[in-house]
Amino acid sequence: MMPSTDTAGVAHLMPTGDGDLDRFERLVRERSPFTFVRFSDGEIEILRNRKLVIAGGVTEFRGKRFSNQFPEFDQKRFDPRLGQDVRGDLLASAIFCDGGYFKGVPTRHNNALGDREFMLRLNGGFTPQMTFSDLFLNSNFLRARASFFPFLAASFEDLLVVGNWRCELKGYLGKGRLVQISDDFFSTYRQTLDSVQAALLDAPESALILSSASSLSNVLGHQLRISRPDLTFLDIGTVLNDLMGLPLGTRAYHKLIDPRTLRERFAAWRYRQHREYQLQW
Amino acid sequence: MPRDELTLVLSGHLCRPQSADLRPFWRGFIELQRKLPTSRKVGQIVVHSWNPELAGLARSVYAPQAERHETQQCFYPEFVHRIDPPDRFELGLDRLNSTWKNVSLQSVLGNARSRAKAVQLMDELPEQAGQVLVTRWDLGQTGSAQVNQLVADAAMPASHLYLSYFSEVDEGYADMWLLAPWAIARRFSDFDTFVLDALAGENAYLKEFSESGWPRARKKTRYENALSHPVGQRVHALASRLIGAIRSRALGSTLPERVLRRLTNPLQRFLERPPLTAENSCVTALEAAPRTFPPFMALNIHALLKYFILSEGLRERTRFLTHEDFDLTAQSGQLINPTPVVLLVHDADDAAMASLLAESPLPLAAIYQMDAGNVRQHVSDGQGGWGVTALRAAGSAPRDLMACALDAEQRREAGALPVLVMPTVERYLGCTDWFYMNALAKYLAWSRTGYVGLASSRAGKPHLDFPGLQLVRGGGAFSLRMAAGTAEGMRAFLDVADPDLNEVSDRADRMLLEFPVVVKDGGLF
Repeated sequence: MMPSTDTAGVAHLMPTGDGDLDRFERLVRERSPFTFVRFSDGEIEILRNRKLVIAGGVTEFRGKRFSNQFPEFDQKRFDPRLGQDVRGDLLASAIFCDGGYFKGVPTRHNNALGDREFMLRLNGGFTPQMTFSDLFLNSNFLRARASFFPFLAASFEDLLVVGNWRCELKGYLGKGRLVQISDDFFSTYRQTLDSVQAALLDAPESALILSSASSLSNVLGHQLRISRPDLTFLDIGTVLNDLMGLPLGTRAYHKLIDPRTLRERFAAWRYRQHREYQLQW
Repeated sequence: MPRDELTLVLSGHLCRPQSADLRPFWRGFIELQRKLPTSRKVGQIVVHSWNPELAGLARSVYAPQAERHETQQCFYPEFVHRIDPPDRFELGLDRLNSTWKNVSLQSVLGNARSRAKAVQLMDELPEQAGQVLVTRWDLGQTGSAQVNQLVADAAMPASHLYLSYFSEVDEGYADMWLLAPWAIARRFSDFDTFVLDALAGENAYLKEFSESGWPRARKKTRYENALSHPVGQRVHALASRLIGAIRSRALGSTLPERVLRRLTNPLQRFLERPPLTAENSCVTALEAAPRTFPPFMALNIHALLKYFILSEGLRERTRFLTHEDFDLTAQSGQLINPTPVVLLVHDADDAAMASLLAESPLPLAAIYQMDAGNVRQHVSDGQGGWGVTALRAAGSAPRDLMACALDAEQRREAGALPVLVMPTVERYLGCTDWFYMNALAKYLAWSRTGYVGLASSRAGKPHLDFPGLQLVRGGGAFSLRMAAGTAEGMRAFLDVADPDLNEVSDRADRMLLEFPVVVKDGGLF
C-alpha cells in the first residue's frame, strides 16, 4: 500500500481488499462501531434512475433483457415512475459522509470506472471510507467466510440478522435474532422500512447487525448510523447464504465454497483465473 | 411558498453586449424549463440583468417577485490601482491567439457582481427557505455540454450544494449553475467583493494558484493534457464514434461478431475512462507535485468560484454532477410562468372540447370552438369554470367563423394575448414541445408579432429574435389553418381572404411573401 495525504490533510491509502478487511477487524477489536453499505450494480441502476427488473427468470438491466436463474427471494423491481421514495433514500445514503460510515462501490475489477467515479462524486470525492462493493466477495470471499465473519460474530454479544422471511439462522449466526423482510420489498417499501427500522432501533446497545436485504440495507445502514451510532452494521449480501438457510450457487463466487468434484474444482479454478476475480481499485 | 419549492435566481446579460441576438435568452428559458424537476415547482424568482432596456421582456417571461436591471458601469476605477503589477493578467498571454482573448477584469467582475446583486434580492422574498437554483439567463448556451447542462434531481437531498463536474474541475468549478440550500446560496451576496479582493492579492488566491500550489489539483499526464486540447477532444470524439460504429455492427452472437467485440473492448474501455481529478478520485502524492498555473489564468471565474467555496468552508457540502449521471427525462420539465393563450379550433365537437379543457398544458384564457357553421366562445372565469356564449357569424364559411371569433376576441381582450389557430384539438394536444410553445407564446405576447406560421417543410433565413423561427418565402409558409400571432394580426388577413381560406394562402405562397415560421425537426404540432 502506498501511503499519501489528501489535500484536506487527512492521510489515506489506496483501497486494497486485504487492507480494508484488516481495517474492519481492527475497528471490531477496538470496539469502535461502524457501518458498511454496498452499492453494487443494482443500486447504481436505481441511483441513476434506470429501470431495473430481476423477476420471473428475466433481468432488465441497462435497457437490455436477459434470462437469469435467481431464486424468488432475490427478486426486485425498480420503476423510476413509482420508486422515487426508495431512490431518494438511496441517494441520501450515497451522499452521507461520516468517519464510521464505509461505502463499498464498484471498482476497476468490475470494469466500472465510470460508476466508481460517480459514487465518489456523490460522496463529495474520495475519502478513506470508500472501499469495494465486493469487499467480502471475489478474492476476499474465502477469507471473509473463514475468519472475518466468525471473528465478527464472536466479538459481539448481541447479533441481529436482517434477511428474507425464509431465512433460518445456523452455525455462528444461530445465536442471532432474525428481522424478516418480504420478497421484493420495493412494492411495500415504506411499510417494510418502517417495520424493520422499528425492530432495529430497539436493538441492544452496541449490537452487531448483519443485513442481507438488497438495497434496503443501504437505507437502513444510513439511517441507523444517524439514529443508533452505537450499532455496528454490515451489508453482507449473499456471502453467508448457507448460514441463513438460503441456497448457495446463485452467484459466481459461491463456486469457491468447498468444491468437491473435479468439475466443481475446475469451475472454482476458472473463476479464480477470471479478470474480475482480484479486487482492484 | 411551500418549503419543497424552488427559488430561481437569474443574473448576467439578457443580451450580450454589442449584439441584438435574443436567441440565447430564449434558448436559456426553454432549456431551464426542460431541465427543472417536474416535482419541485419554482415558487419564487429573483433576477438581475445588465440590460435595463429589456426589463419588460424579463418581466413578461419570468414574472419575478424581485428584480433589478441596470446599465453595467465601467469598473476600472475600482481595480485600476489595486492590481499589482498592473499587467499581472497579461504576462505570458498571447491574447489574440488564446482562448483567454475575451476574458477581462470587467467581464469577470460584471459576472460576479450581477450574481451577487441577484442573490441580494433574495432578501426581498416573502419565503426565506428552500432550495435555490442560481444560474444565468443563457443557461446551456455557452461552454461545453459538460459544464452548461443543468442537473436538477428532486430526489437528491436538498441539503447540499450541487455543481457541474468536468475534466478541468481541479482548476476551477463551473459557474453556469449551482443548486444550493437557501443559507448557502445567500452567501454568494458578497461574491463580487471576494472576487475583487482575490484578484487584488488580498487573500492567498493568487499565491496558491500560481506559486505555492493550487489546492485539490493534480498535474495532468501528457495524454490528459492532449485530451484537454480542442484538437485532442476532436480526435477522442472521432475515435469514440468509430469504435461505437464498429461495435454497433457486431451486436449478434456469431463468432466474428463476438471476436470483434472482444477486440474492441479494451479500446472502448480506454476511451470511456472518466477523468481522474484530485477533487474526486483517489490520487496519491499530490503534495510532492503541486499544480500551479500561469498568472494570467488567475483571471478565471471558475478558479475564483472554487476558491470562494473552499474559503467559505463549503467544500464538504459540495457534490459534483454530470448530465450523464441520471436518466431524468421522465422526471424533468416544468413550465415557468405559463402564458395564457387564446385558442381558435376550426373543427371541435363537445367531446374534443372536454379533453382540451382537461389536458391543455398551457392555460387557456378563451377558446373559440368552430363546428358545423357555429362559433362558440368559451371564456375562463379564472376559478376553473367556463362561460359559454354562442356567437353570430356573418356566414358559415371558415373565413366568416374565424373573423367572428377574432372580432369577439378583440372586443374581449383587445388583442392582449397570443392567439393560436389549430385545425383540431387533437393537433393542439399533440404538441411535441410545450416548453418551446410556452416560450413562443411569451415571445408573441411580448413582440406583438401579428402572424407566425406553425408548419413549414422548408427552411429560410434564421430569425434573430427567437430560436427555431425562420423567415420563409412561399412554399406553405402562410396558412390560416394552423398559425399563431395576435388577434389583430390574423384578422387583417381575413378581409382579403376567400371564404375557404385557400386562395389567400395560395397567393401568399406564389408571391413568395416572407413570413416567420417555426421550423423544428419533427414539427411542433
